[in-house]
Amino acid sequence: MEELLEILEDIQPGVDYANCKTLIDDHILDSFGILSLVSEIEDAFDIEVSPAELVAENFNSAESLWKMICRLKEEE
Amino acid sequence: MAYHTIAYFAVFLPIVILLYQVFPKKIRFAVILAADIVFFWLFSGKLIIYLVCASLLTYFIGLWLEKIALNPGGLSNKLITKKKRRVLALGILLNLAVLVVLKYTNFFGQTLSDILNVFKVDWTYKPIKFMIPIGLSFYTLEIISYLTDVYRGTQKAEHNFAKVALYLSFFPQTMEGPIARFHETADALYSGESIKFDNLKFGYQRILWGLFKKIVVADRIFPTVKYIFGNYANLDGSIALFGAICYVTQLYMEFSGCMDIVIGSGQIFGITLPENFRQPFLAKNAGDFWRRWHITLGTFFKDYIFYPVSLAKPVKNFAKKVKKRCGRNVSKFVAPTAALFCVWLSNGLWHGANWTFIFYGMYYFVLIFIENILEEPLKKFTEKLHINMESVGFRIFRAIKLFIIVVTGELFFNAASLKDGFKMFGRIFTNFHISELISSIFQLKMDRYDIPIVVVGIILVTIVGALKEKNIDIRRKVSGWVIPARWVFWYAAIMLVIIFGAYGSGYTAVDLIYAGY
Repeated sequence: MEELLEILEDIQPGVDYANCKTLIDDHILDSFGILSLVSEIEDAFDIEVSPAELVAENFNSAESLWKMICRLKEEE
Repeated sequence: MAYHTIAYFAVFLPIVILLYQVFPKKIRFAVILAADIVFFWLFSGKLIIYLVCASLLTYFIGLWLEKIALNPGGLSNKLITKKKRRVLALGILLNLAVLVVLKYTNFFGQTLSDILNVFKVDWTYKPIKFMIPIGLSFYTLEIISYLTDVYRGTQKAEHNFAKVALYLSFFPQTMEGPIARFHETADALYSGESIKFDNLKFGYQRILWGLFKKIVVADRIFPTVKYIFGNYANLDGSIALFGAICYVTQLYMEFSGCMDIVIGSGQIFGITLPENFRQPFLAKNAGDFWRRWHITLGTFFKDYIFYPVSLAKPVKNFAKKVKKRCGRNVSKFVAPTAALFCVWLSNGLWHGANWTFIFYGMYYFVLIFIENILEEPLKKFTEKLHINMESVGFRIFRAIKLFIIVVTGELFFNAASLKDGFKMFGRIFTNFHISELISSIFQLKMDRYDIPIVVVGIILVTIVGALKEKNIDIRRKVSGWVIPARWVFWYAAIMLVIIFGAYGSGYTAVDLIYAGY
């Protein structure tokens, strides 16, 4: 989780990622930000994110992102 | 029987509402389906066969995808995905083939003929007259979204054919969308819930607002747009610019007005159709504008072209190579830019088979690409100069810049050909005399009554939009007033549309622009 928070901070600094649950709904992360994030987490956690995963439920908070990463790691 | 005609909102729609309410809940879906068929038939007659075949194909391909996913043969995950991908490709290609043949054969034939003539090959393409069913471009995208979602596993394959047919043919969406997702409408359309008084009231109020935008404002501007775009070569550059501004106004009033009628119609039956506009002229830049203008088309391209292309293996591998050589600051633009190009090429082509539309798509591709590249440097630059990007002055500057971008794009979008677009655009810079526009303003097919009505209409729509941006809904506010005040308000609104609407003698009926795409 720490590593994920660092990646998020690196892509879009100045957001309270530990508590924010509306990263997509409030347009904090746009489609370009999402793609940068996907590229980074694929490298960092050795997973493959498919287009089907790019939905608000998976990207609205650091917690939901972490859940997706864990799930994808299990499926690998 | 377009949505803004009396035949639709005062005859067809009330009859459907009445029949829907009279029939038992279990078969109400059949009333909607029958209305869909009648509505489609009135525009395209026997061409309804295209829609029937597309619905059947979509239904069976969906079931086929589900059968593969259930994996009765005990195949490996890799093999299942491969099989599913082939079936999805078959479903999409068969549907796209119809769209491509009917809409683009003449364009590709003519382009091929032009290219061959350049190489001195004497071959002339003879255009074929195709009959295109109404709404083909819209329901084809809905089919792609449904099949892709079933393939991805985010949507269950539908076992009830009626639901698939209802989803693809709901009559308020037939002409201009919005492009809905299966889960947004199918179940609600099938459920046959009773019509609620609030839905009926709010639905018709929204239809009234849409009619105001369409027949009071847009249709009064139409003759001016037609005249200026048809005669720009003999007119001053200032008039050409005025024509382009009028077209932007007409297009917004008409398309968003039509969406009000469509969404209002859906609301009556308890169907929440997705919004297509969210105050686009209050956007921060061109990218933001497209998140507020024709929203359902933009989200379709984002979900089914932008993300899949960005995450495609060859694109990701290329981005990784660039990252090794040039670093993350450069590589992060590779995948989004490749995907952005595909999105805007598709956007241009979707609007029609004409180079003006392809140019329009590429115009926004370049603009949004530049915006993305400059976003960070510009942020640092404004911070260094202590420029407050939320100050009134900066917001006005931003709004003017966006308006220029939109007007320029729409000028090419509405030009008869790319050559005409460039000539008209050129006149604005080479032959611009504002005095010409002022002296001939009443000779531009809008008389002394049209102009004040249009201006007041634009002001009203702007005020309502600004309030909406602040989450203030006029309809909800009015519904809280005492009954006499409410009646006076809505009676005045109805009279406003009846008295000031551009219809009857002296006005020709204006077709819906997006129904042609």
